[in-house]
Amino acid sequence: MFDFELVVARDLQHLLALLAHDPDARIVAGATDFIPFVNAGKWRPRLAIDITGVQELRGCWPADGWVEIGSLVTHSELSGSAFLRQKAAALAEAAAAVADPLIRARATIGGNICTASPAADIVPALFILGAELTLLNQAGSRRLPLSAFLIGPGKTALRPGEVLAAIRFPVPTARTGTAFLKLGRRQAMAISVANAAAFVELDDGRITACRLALGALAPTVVRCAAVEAYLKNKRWNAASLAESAALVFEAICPIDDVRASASYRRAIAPQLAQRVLVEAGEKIGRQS
Amino acid sequence: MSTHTLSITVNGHPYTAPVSGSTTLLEFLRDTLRLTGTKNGCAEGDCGACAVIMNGQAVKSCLVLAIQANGASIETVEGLHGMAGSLHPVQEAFVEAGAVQCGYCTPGMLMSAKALLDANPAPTREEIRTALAGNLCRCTGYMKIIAAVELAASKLEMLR
Repeated sequence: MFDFELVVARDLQHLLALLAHDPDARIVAGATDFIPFVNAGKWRPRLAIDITGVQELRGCWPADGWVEIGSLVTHSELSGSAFLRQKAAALAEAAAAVADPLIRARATIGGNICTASPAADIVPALFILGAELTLLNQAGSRRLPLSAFLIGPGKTALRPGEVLAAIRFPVPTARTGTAFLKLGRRQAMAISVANAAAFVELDDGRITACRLALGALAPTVVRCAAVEAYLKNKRWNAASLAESAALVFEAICPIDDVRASASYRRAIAPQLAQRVLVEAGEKIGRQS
Repeated sequence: MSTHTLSITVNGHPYTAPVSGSTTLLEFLRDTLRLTGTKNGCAEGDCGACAVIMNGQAVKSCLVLAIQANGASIETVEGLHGMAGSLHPVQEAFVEAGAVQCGYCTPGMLMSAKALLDANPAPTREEIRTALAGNLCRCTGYMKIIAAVELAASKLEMLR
């Protein structure tokens, strides 16, 4: 492997001091992207900081109607969390859809966000949950909506010297259902051809809130504002969902790549959207 | 080049050795400890030939920096054994079920299977398929491998 200096951060204070001293250092957590990217020459870090020993970045804390998840929480921990399965099924399902169990045991939520892949599986789930990020540097902290953090493929709003410390979102209510769906070439170890997450809130059969996010269909994960606006205050039925799904084209701009053609992606996008909305709606009442 | 001191337990034996920051756990096991049972297949996390058990959890050792395993307990295929020098029941089951063709994927398959059975002694077929989803066999012997893990579960059940 390309050789680099590595420093092991002992705790959060040490990490922030290391980042203040070397703002361009590359942060390493689960290393499941880091090692292949360095091997492939895509990343050539001079200095890397291992943060896996920073205990302050681990754990999941529900409080005041919100849940806060440390950036070092692994995909296995997300998919195995009874709390998330019950309250935010889309996130648990998305985490379970990533790679394979050996990689999920190491790969972190913070890494999945900061790698900024347009095909990241947990990002659409976090979009529809309304996730915000807590970013720290030695001078203090700032909060940013996840949607403002992801700028383009591999590009984020992370500033030199900053670390993603935690991800938080409001815990969905009992009238809400969330779901995630992935289309890959195979069940495991597949980067998504496309993925989707939905949030649906119903009141007496009427849609009071709806969020739909699609991945791998644009340079970043996108929210489908036209679908969401169309469904607001509509009755929850097959006809309104089918009509809304055609509006995904206002949000997506798929490309040809090694996994699928743009035309294939355009063909499946409304189907995926419709199915994930149906699944989210079906979870209402079963989710809290 | 940064050098770190790695303290690690491998198959019950404690080791302390210098490692560079860019050394992977796989390279440390094979090149420093000469435990070459763990295989280097793709070196980018796709194939699972390098699977080892780290603190009870199967991981791909090519995707772990050696220094990230500081203080960890690692099990490799060399640490598998049954009673009185015999094979471990998971290994016996692989032999009896004919789950080995060329054998290159076998150490990784064994470690993923052992980690599964340690955590879940009576897995369903679906749970076995999920646990082995990150281990590729290019001889396409998956059905016999899954049958071997089922056989291993019944062998371990009889030993309890």
